[in-house]
Amino acid sequence: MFREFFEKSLIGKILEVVVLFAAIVMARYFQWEIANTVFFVLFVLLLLHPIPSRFAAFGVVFLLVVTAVLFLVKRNNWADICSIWAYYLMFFTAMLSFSQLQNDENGATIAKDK
Amino acid sequence: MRILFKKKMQNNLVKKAIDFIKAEKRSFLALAFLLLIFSVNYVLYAKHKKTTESCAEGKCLTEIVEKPQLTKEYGYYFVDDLFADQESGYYRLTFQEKSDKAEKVLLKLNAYAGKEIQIGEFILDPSNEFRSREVLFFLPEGFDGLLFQKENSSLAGNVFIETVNISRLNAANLSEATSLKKTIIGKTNTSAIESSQLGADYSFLGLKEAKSTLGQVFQANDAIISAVAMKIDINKNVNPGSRQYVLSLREVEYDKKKKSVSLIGPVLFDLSFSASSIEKYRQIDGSFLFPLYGALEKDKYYFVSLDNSKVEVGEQNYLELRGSQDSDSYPNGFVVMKKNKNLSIADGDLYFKIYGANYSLEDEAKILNGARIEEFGKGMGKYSYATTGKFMDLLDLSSASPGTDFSDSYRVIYAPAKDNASFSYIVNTIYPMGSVNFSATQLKAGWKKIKVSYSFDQNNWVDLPSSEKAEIAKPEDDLLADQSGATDSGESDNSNSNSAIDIYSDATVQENVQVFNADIVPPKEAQTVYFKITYDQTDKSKGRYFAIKNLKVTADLKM
Repeated sequence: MFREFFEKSLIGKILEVVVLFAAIVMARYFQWEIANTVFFVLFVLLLLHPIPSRFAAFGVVFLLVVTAVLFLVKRNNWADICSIWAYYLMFFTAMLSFSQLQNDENGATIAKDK
Repeated sequence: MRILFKKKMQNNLVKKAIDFIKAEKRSFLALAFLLLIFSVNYVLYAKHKKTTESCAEGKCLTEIVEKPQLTKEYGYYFVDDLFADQESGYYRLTFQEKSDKAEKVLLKLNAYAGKEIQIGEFILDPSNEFRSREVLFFLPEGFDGLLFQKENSSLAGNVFIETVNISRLNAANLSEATSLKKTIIGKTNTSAIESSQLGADYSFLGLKEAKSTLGQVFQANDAIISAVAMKIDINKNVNPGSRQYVLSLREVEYDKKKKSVSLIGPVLFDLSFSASSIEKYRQIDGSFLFPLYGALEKDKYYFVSLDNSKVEVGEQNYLELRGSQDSDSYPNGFVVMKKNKNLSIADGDLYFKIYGANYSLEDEAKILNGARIEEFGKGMGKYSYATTGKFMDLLDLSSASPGTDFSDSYRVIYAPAKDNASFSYIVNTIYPMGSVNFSATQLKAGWKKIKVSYSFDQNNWVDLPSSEKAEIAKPEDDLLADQSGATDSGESDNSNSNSAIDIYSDATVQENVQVFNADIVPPKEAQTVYFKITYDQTDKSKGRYFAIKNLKVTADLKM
């Protein structure tokens, strides 16, 4: 994931740092809570350096299990927050899957052309 | 040649830019994503400021303004079926009126068949306050209703008419009717300003900090405070949350030598509202008028303040209290900031107007607001008082334990059921009473049971009997639960979410509530009766509050 970053041109590296910095400044500007800020920055980071969707899907499953456990121990507020994160991550997993699928199809087309 | 070279250079630059964008497409995608999120949040959640000035001339009013009964467009106001089943005879008509312009109004008896008889006319002077009117008339057979009619319907005056009542008189002729005493109607005037500071060119930003309290210390001029007006600028985003600010009134001790201030005793009164629900207190001039009830001691110092401890304040969500930086603008008080239990005096004074309460007095006895004392003739008369379901009901109490409050949702006075909590009324009838009737109903079955006692000397108290009546509790009742915690189901957030589920089911619950309806025989010549309302301390239910609704006191009078 980060190998890509170091392989980039200097302007490319600066641009990525600027994007991440802008995300943090924006979160501060709208006074999002720390947890939401972390999640948002992570989201932007995944946009810049996508990971295989199965990892994100694993995150979703993990959060859903944690949500259920939190409900069982009657930490309803935390369970609510956790389920919202699971929902966000699920949305992102879907996006990653689509992008991955397209890449696979492109790869397959190139291989066929060759 | 040069042009060709230039073109080639340009093409190279464009090509390089396109290659760069292609190479860094993810970064540009992320930037576009950030821009989208920023735009959505900025439009939906960025700070919007509502100032006193931007809300002047009624621009921010959310409460429905009362509609006049007579206008330029509608010159007639019918009160139908007022005389249905009434016998022919002499009657007294009482009503309250006010008008924004000078007007002449005709008063007529009206029948469905179309016939009309004029029974009076009255000239209205422009006024902001309702005034009582009384008309004596003979009711012939065959009339059903009453008609108020503008004499000149082209005039632009707006006339308000309310509380129309009729009473049959024991009079054989008009001279007997006119010899009767004029009806006394209690009216508590809350428009008198007891103390004020009207400078508002400076904004106090103390409430921008979390868990802070900012307010004004003032010296009491009057025994009762009925409201406080403040100028507040609201900074909020689209979703400021439902967490509530708390406006409270407390007594303070002020050491002039040390220039220090400290809080004394419990909170006398508090009022909770969110950055959105505060709008219901907005006035036409853009300021806020908060109902606030408290029995004060003259010359003592009191602190009226706003506490933001429960609110998530920040750059986009906070209140600014307007006032003056000049500490001499109100010589008998000062601004106080409370943070982490430390009170500090700040320079300047907040904009504020403290409203008192002036009661109707007859023979030096206080007449409750809306109470009627009327003579029917032949030595008979009647006293009647009923709660109105408005905040003004609180001002009728003769005493109340700390925490006694008015619920906007239920429209009743309620009090926390702890220690020796109670609230009481002193009913002065001016004339000796024949018999007294007290009626009221427990507000909700889930709340603590009520105990009502009466006395004629404040020493010997007698408990009034009560019975139980099945009442249908609508699910909406719970939804209307007062935000300040007048629910008996724990935290208000939880109770609201539970009731939000209830409202979608059609189920209605029948519950048994206490009903009081008792006749009391007073001692001879008694003109004053005392009522004390408290909770039944033997009731072991989990209710945290007690309250009664539909309180009514009537008495036959010997006049």
